Amino acid sequence: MFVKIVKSTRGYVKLKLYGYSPERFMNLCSNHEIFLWGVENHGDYYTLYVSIHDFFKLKPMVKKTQTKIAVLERKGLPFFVYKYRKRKLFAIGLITCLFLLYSFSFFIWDITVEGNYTVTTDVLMDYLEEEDIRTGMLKREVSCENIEKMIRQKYNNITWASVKIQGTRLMIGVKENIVDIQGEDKAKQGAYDLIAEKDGVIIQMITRSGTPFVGIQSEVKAGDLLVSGQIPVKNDGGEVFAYQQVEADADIIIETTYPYEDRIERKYEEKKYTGNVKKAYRLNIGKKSIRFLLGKVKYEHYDVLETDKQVKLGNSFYLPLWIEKTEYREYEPENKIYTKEQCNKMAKERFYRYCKTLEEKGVQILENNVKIELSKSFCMTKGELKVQEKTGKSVPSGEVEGKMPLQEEET
Amino acid sequence: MIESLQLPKDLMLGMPIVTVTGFHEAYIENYKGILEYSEEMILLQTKTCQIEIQGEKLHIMYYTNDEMKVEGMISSIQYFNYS
Repeated sequence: MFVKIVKSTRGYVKLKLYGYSPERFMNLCSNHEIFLWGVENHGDYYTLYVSIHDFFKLKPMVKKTQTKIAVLERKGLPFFVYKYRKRKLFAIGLITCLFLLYSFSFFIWDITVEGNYTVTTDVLMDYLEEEDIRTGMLKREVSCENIEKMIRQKYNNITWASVKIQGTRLMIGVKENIVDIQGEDKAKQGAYDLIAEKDGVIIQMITRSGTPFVGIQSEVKAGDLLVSGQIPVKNDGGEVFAYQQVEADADIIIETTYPYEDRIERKYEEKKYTGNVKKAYRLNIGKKSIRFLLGKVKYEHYDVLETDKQVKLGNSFYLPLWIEKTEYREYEPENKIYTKEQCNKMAKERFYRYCKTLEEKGVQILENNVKIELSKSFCMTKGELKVQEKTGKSVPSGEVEGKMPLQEEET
Repeated sequence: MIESLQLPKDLMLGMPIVTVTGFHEAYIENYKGILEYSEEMILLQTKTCQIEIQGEKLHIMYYTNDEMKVEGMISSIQYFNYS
């Protein structure tokens, strides 16, 4: 294999050898250390191979032995180069292309972030940009360990970060702490009260710490004090002489009403796509862009759809080339009115969605008095929802003097 | 004398070495030249004798000053004109 490569880079020729004494010619060749190979007998002539370098030494031997030689084939790189000598530009293009590909592989052309949930990709990217980590930077300037450290230090809720380079892509993997640390590690100093967030009637109340100011069945208004963070300390005489400061904590369930109102206009505009699409392309190289658009967009009404795609080789060799495609889709607006059935269906769906989001928040719906009313121009969904929900907002404790705490019943 | 010195015979006396693999491949070392070459017969001159290889479709793969490789269906190898 190796010999073959060397032979073809040096170049060789296939010769036809005939005449008076070809055997003598071959012997002379070997005596002059001319390497011959692939010698074949074809009856009255021989064919053999010889390298270009040796070919030019054959002349005296040919004379001596009175043989004749004819070149049958020329093989190898020198002949190939000679044959395509007029395609220099092509060769230069090919070489520069390979060179560019090779040099592009020294840079980072894409950054991906995985596993982030509360810290959005944009936020993380902006942060990386601030720290001079961006697409187009040299690979060897990237220190994966440092980036990992930086991310962990900057964001408290990121507990684990891994940074690796794959091809020309910088892959950042993070793990976030699901439990909100902030709520837990915020060591509260002093007294905190619980106040009502909404008007309603208290259904259930379990106080863990603090002094309750309201009881079951008591009506409260938003902002009312429910549980105080100050526990009165009484002396033997039954007089309050001091307050113990605590963080009030209680499970309070309140029955309250939610107003619900939803108005749907019956008139609407329907987009009827004509199927006419005009496409424009934009090629971004680094920060420069070239735009290709054929003529102007002549449509009166149209939607614009933009897609951005980075050119890559294989799975992870991203190139600094982005192709941006913009599509202009023509449509004809059509004024329509929702039918009664459609209105009902939509109103119900929207109401159902609203209930679902409430339930997700932990609100229990007891009953609803919501009605759908139809008029000519709109559809109104209106009513009240009777619900049970948890309440109690922690706020720094205010003065309790003068206010009467609920008398605790001895159990 | 040579045997007592345990020197390689091919070097000292210029004897040919013929290495045959099966019946289709033969290496010949220490030869001086080709006398005749056709598809059926190759006649080689060495220092001490002539070697004739007979067979079918004989074919010289390569050919240098002191070594050659022959391929083909070899039927016989004969020695002539010892000296």
